[in-house]
Amino acid sequence: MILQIQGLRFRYPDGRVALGGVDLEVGASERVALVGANGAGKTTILLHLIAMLRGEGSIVVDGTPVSEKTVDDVRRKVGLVFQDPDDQLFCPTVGEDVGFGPRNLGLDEAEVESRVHDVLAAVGLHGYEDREPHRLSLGEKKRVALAGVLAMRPALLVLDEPSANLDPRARRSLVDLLRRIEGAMLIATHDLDLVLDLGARVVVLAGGRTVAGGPADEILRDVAVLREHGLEPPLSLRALA
Amino acid sequence: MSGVHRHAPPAAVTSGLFAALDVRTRLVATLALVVAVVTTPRGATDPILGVAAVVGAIVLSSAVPLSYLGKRLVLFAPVVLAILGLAMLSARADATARAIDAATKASLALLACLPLGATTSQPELVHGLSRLGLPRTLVLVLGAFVRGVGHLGEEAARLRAAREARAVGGRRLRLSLFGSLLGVLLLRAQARSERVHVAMLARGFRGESTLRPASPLRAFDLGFASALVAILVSVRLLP
Repeated sequence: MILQIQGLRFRYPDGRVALGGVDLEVGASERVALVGANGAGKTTILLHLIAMLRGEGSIVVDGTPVSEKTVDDVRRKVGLVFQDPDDQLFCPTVGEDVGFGPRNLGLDEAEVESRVHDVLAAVGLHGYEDREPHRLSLGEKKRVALAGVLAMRPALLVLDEPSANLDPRARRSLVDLLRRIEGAMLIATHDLDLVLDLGARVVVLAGGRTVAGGPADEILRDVAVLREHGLEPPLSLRALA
Repeated sequence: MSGVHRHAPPAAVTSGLFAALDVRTRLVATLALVVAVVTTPRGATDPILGVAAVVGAIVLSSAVPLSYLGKRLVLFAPVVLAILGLAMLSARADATARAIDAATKASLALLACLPLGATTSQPELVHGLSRLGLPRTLVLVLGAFVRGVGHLGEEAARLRAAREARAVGGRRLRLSLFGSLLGVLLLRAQARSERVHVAMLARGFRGESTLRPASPLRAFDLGFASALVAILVSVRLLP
């Protein structure tokens, strides 16, 4: 098991309950989609995985319990791609940005350059090393942000709303790319068509609790459950109905 | 809104001798030109003419359009006029000569900087400073500043558009509304900076900058920099 979360509870400083006891598991090479309406607690869970937030309960990533002492180790194992790539890309060139994580890992320069080259090719941005990140399209920025995390070779790839604000072509391209990536993946989204495309196991989150879970084909056809928790069935399934 | 951000303009000139140089050589050459200009003693006609000729040659070889140079020199004209105007108010006998010297050097120094400005984008400038050995933390702060200013500009443009879209019949910006917009802008900037910091921590950042190490300079760059410094020293040594 790559990720095990048990009884995770978290309150915001103003006392509001963000997570009310979340249990979640992600197996090796498994794709899990954490779906829920805005405010359901998806991003709050993701921030716990990199120890940016500390709630009650237990989180174990690839055998390492998340704690104050294991922060560096955990951040090596969890690769979090943020919703807005502008929050993630801050170096003057794409090459430097993608190499930022590997250099923080203390890898030698030849290895860093090799990883940068390989992941940029993998995300379809070969030759972008010297481009300025802020001059790229949103779809390209998302790919660079993903490359920056893949270059660290995390045990668990975590994506926060990866398809947000993308036009249909960029979204399709991202879906194709994500389908090619192997390894454990946790995707927080309310884009249920994306979940269906990736064939991920679905965990429905509402009010800071996991309220349903199962294969995408099963959960995403359960209109009553989806609507009860502020979601709608994927467009592709509605078209077939 | 387009997915491409426009806040950091690209270099205006990408061809010519100056643009072909490594950004580090461009920075060093500009610094050498400015130092040569400002350290030339007042009244040393031949040296300042010599330095001016070198500056002129660099500007010409950089293929910077005259319109680019003209606009910036016109913007600088009030400074020159202010220097000359202040000299007229001074009781010193040599005030005019001093003012002409200061105005000439300021204009020449500006002219010497324009090829760098025209051929180098902001991120490239930060990159060049990094490769010249500027402390890495400073480079990181400078890079974040360049990006932050761009993002602030974008946020300000969005706020302006949102205000104007609802400003039917009263487009004048009241002071209280301006204060409110400024407050919102600062809050958004703070929220953005926190998100960027979290994203850096998520990729293993522990407070130390880990930028790409500098690559060695080409012989072309070393030759250009050496020749320029040698010429400037020779010119400055003119009687």
